[in-house]
Amino acid sequence: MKKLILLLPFIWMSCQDVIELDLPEGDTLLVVDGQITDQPGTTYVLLSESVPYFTEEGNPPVQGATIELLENGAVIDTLQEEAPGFYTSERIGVLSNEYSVLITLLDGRTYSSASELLPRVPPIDSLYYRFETDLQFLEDGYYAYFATQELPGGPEYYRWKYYFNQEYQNTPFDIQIADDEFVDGNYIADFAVSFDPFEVNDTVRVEQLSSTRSYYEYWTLISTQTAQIGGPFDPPPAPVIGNVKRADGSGEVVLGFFSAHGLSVAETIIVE
Amino acid sequence: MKYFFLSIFLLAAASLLAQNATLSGYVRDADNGEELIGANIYFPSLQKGAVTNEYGYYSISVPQNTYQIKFLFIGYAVLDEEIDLRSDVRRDVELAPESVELMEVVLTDDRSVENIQSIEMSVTDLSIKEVKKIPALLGEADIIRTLQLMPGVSTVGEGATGFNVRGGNIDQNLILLDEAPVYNSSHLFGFFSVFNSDAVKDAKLYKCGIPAQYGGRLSSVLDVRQKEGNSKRFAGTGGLGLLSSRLTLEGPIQKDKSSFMIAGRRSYADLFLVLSPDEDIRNNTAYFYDFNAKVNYRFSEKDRIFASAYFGRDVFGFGDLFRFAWGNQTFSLRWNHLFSDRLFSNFTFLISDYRYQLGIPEGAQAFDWDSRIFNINGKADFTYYLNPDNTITFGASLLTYRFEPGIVSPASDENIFNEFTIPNQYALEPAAFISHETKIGNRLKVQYGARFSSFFRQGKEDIRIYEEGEPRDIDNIIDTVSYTRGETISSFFGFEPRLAINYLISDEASVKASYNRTRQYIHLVSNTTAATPVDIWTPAGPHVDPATADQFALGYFHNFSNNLLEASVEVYYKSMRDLLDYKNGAQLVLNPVLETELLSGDGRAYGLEFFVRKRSGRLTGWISYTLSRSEVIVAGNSPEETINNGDWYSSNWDKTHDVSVVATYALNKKWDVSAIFAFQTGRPITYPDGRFVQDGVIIPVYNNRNGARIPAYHRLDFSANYTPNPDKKKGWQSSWSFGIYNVYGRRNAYSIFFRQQEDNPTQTEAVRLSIFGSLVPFVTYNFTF
Repeated sequence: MKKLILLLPFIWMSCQDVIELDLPEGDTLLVVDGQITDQPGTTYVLLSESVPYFTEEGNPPVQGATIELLENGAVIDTLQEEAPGFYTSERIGVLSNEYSVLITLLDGRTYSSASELLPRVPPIDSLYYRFETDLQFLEDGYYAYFATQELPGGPEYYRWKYYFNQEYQNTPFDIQIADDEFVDGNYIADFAVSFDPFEVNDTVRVEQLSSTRSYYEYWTLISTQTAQIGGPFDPPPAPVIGNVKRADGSGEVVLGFFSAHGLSVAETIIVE
Repeated sequence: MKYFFLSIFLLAAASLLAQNATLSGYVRDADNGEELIGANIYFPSLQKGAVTNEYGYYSISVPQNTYQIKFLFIGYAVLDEEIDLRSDVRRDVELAPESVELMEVVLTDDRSVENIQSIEMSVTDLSIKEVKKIPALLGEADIIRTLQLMPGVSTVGEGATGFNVRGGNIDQNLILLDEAPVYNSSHLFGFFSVFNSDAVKDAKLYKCGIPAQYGGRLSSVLDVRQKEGNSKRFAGTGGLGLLSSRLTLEGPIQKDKSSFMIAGRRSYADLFLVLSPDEDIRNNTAYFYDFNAKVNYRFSEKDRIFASAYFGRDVFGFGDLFRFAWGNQTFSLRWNHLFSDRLFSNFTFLISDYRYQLGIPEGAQAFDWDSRIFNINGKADFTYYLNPDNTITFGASLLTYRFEPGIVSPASDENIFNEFTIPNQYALEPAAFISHETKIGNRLKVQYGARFSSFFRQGKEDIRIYEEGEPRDIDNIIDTVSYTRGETISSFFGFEPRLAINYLISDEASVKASYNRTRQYIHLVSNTTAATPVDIWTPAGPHVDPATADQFALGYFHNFSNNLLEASVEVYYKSMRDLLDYKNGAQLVLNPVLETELLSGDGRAYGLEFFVRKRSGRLTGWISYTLSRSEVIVAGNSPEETINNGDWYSSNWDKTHDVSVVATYALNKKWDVSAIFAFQTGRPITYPDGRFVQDGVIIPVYNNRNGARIPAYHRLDFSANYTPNPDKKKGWQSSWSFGIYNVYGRRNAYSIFFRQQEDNPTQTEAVRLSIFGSLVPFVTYNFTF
């Protein structure tokens, strides 16, 4: 919403055109995308490679790697490659423990992620919806909201993920993260799930994840680098570097993050 | 330093011995009584002269005799007068403004030519008349937009706040309105400046050779003076435009003794919103206004006081969802006193207050965020006119700061937010300066001086201590030290030498050189392409050093065709130390540990500026060309504190080539036409050299900050001004301006950015954002009475 306001005078006459452009091609970099939570079936690591910016195919998977899961510095499991580049574990994270992964590629290069604490998470108190007819700038229709009791002290950082009719909402504009600086210990009510109305029989699922400061900062950077772009009041492009490093300390650039979360879930179906 | 004071003493002694008489007084406009800044008083028999100061005062001491004296000011008829100077004479003169036709005659007159003779270089003097003639966006005559057409002045992009001078950031410009600092010079984000051109008398930009009386910013001084108000008769000026309307009223309170000026301007785009059938649109607000007022009173031949005030606001509202307002407020009280006809003094007391508010007015998430910088400043400046060859200026000032970075308060009871305050910061900035301008022989003029500046950061404040040798991060805080109110937290002292030299090669040509060191104790904290009105300023202190710049400039000035054409070429080199930069992804808004996001870097800028100007005749205008480079280096102790591997990289406003051509042609008494052409190299931008995916989001890989450039910028504007009754001198006079901004409708890139395609998120695309997608026509009706 803040962005809309800042752009107000520019809407007036500005225009956007998609253009053709030649871009430089950088080195191929290893990309890690993984997490562990305190709920079953949510521990995975996706390994891939970076590609030139205008590539029609997706990022190629990195297969055959050995990925070990560490709890408080000790190996507790080795992930299984379930699909090309997609590695999973049955292990569930435990509150207040620290987790990381150690990755060894087929050519022997090893990488490790920084240890991430698994913070506690409050439950979603309620997920509810109303038929709204009087919202400024928004269409009439069913809007979903949730409420939760923020816990004093910690966790300090949150992320929410939304699934509408089982479809994960994962465009840059869906990234929803927050810190509790202004709301520490408060009851959070009427937190809007979407600015587009729902239809009757739609399924709405909300996942509330607690996270660490480094994860929050990483996703804040991803959000600003993908959703707050191009305008006069947007931050300059910046490298998005996560918590994975080459284990030999060579300083090789590695992309991605392995994170740990407390997870609470709520789901509802819109009924007339 | 010892030699400096000794030489001044000897000069003073020598001048007392000679049999001299002093001619002094004010030079004014015969029509409205406004003092003329920079008018020449010339003694042809001595080939010496004087120039009026910012208050229109001049003083010159010459051997006792009777002289033929010329009073000259561009655009005004020459006044030739014989004055018996066997004793001191006070002579206030009035010059009559000239019409276009006569101005050509004036120029053949031999006279002292200000741009060749003056010690000043790297200075841009704007004539408000010129500003009003040339095409303007939506017909709003604008000082800062006009300055951007001058050599060495540029902007990040259309609609960006502020301006960049010789490779410096926008916070490096000291912007003064009747001597009060203005923190945000922009309305409507950055499309228009806060200066209502009807209320302004004079605007002067110093890019180098900054006189010692000015300090506190690295790159430039923009000194804007408001009109005093017509002291002859009641008069009004105003206009109706597409964007705003304005009205200025001025007149004598007691004839030739006191006068006033008040001016108001308001934009009214939002008034049309009310007509919209859509309630959501009706509920929006978007407007700005400003209000200028000034009175002055001459209570004796030797004393005059001025009180002036400015109040401006921008207000945006998005229904009940969001509101946003900001503005400057300044007040200055000045007292001009003549201790003698040779010692001119000015005492100033001023207040400057910049505020912004942001909030959500209603609902569970309602809040108000209020932020502010508050200044109180006192200063005393003296000019001692020793003799025609020696002038000494000196003075002192004390500036107090109160920074209120932010108070967030919940705006309703059933609110999810807690009240949150970032503590205030307090500082004192005392400074003193002295400068001596001297003429050595007939050809060489030197102005040398120094400014002694200091800065004291004071309590009450808690200062965090970080572990030494570790990156500044909240995990590395080892202690917090509390300071009581008024207790000094850190102090800084600066010595800022200033030097300017002019060597006259002939009557039509001179070589000038200048050097200045400048220190800046407060920084604008902004990490966006264009600064926003909510960007905060932060003072130097335990975690932030003051910035320092050294600049050298060399110029050759040559006039052609009996001074009809003024031409100059200048080169400069500027090095800057301790500039602020930011960590990647820095969070600067409402951050209580702001210092953890700040980095420190150095900068360098160099360039060549070429300028030709024709100020009189039927065809007037200028051609300006700048070839320049502006670079930054940020090499910290850790990778997080380093940008681009610690190599030099282009600053956001680095534009290699910058060309402006501005021309106005008077077709006849009723019509004149005007055009602007501007061309600039595209500004630096960062292109991705790869992409990767996290949780379904495609993220560009950026390695080389500002390693590429957007396409070149160019634009043509055109306007025509029509005055139906040009000979009418009394009563209601009106004129019309019609024009087109961006005549050929070029979609100049403001930026190029990279995103996932909306309908096929697995694919990526490059998008060009143009602030103006087409031509922008305008019409303005202006009147005076």
